[in-house]
This record gives sequence, structure tokens and C-alpha cells, in this order.
Amino acid sequence: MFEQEFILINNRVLPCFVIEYYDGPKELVCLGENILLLWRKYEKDSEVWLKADVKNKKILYDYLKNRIGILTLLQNSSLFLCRHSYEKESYFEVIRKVKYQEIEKEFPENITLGYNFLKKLLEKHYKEIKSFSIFSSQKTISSVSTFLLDKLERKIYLQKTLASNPPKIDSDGYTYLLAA
Amino acid sequence: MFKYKLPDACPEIMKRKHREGEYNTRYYRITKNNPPDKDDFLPQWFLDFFKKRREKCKKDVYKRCKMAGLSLLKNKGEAIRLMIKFPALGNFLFSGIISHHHGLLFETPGTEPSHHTFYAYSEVDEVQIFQKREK
Repeated sequence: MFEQEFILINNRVLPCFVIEYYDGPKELVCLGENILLLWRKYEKDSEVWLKADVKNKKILYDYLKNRIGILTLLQNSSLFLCRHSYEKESYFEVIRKVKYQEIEKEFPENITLGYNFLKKLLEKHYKEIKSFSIFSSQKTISSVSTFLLDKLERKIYLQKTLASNPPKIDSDGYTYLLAA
Repeated sequence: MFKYKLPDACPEIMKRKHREGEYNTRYYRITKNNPPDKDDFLPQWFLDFFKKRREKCKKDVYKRCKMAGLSLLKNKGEAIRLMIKFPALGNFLFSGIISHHHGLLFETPGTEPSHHTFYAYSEVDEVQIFQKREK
């Protein structure tokens, strides 16, 4: 249900979920890093995104549970403008740090996510775990195979991409990616 | 048959993964222009400035197929919420009724629960479909 993107930011590979999609991904969350990325606009050679390093997990989770609005989250984050080049699909380059006051006026309302992302994510994982638990009955062998193949294909694709065009990442980031 | 030359395995991969959407129903599209023009209905995959990214995601069949479709929303409230959060998407909201004759429509509710992906048939003019201004 939720698409995953692996992004490169500050020389680290991060697994993120697409949480808003409209003509392409418009908002990503990297749960392990407390990072939220918001699309701002298209430019000739790249997209401009806002990166929010959220100060604590509770704020991020409240936003993802649809309990607080985006302005509350941004107010409690360190903010950076990023360039997302069309040429490098996964690469986000930090341009500069921005103050909340600069960004605040871009949002006429303290708009929420509109749905409880965390609840949906847990439901999805619950279904996957459930399908594994009845694997022995062979009733869902096809769905389990598809799930495993999807994961495997994604991993192989990423490994091939990285092998042909190695990014500058630290060992932790690389390990994280391979374990994903 | 389709208005734009779709990537390989598209829209077949959508048929495998998603249910077809409801036809003869009103859908919403955010536009930059008022009245909307054809550029407001060009899927991301076919935008000139996306050429470089198109080349990068050739292997991800599902992703490129989704990008080759047009995002539509069935729920007006969700469309307005997106306009507030992402003002650069456009300042106007138009709606229209999509029928079987207009193209293929899939329910793609990954994030926004009412998100749909639309592949227009050739000769279909989206500007004529999305005529009712909502915002």
C-alpha cells in the first residue's frame, strides 16, 4: 500500500515511505531518522523540497497519527531547503538552513496529514505477518511468493544501481540499505 | 488507443495491482490555470523536464506506469487539503465526470484514500471534461 523510496541525503541512504502522492511523491517520511520531506516546487533542473529534522519522535508520530498539523511539526524541527535533481533520482542535496518564519507563510493553514499513517502501516504489516503464519496451509502461497519476490526484486535492483553508480555513503548507511 | 505512448507493461501492471475506479462519477483535478489548459492534464512522465528522471526509473515498471497516469481525487476535501499543503501544485480546483469512454481509471489509494490514476484514450480532451470550477 505504501511505496518505499530509498533516498540519499547527506551521504546516507535512508529508507522512507511516500505519505503524500499526487503526480509523483510529494511527502516522504524516514521513520528511523525522524525526517520529513515536503515537496515545494518544480524547477527547470530539479525539485525543491523542505527537509524537517523533527526534534522528537512524539511530534513526528503525532503528525503521522493526524493529531497535529504541519506547522506544529515544522515549528519543532530544524529546517533545510533541499534540491532533488531530476538526473539523480534518489539524491537530495541540502542547499541551506531555513528559519521557521521563512516557511510559515507558505502554509495558509496548519493542515494535517488527513489520515492516520501509522495505523495504516501497522495494519499492513499485521496482514503480512498473518499471511506468513498460515503459510503452511498453502492457501496463500501465491500471495506470500509475490510479497517475497517484490522485496527481493527491489533489493536486487537497488544493489545493481548502487554497484553501477556507487554513491558516497558511509558504512552504516550502506549496511542499513542492504538490511532493508 | 491511449492518448500518450505508455511505458512497457503499462497499464497491464495497474490492472494486476489495482481495482478499476468508479466511472460516471465526479473527480477532482488541481490546476495552475483558470480555465485549465492541456498542460494541466499532462502526466508527470511526459513532462519535458522529467526526461532525465524517466531514464533513471526505466527498471521500476510499476513506478513508471503510475507516473504515466494522471492523478485525480474523488474527494473534494482531500484535493483542497493538498492545495493548502502544496501551493505550487496550483491554485485552482476543477471537477468533471469520468466515463468509460474517456479512458482507464484505477483506484490507487496509497496515501490519499481517494487517489486515482487515469489514462486517457486518444482524442479525449480533458479540458472539456474538467470544466466545473470548484475553488
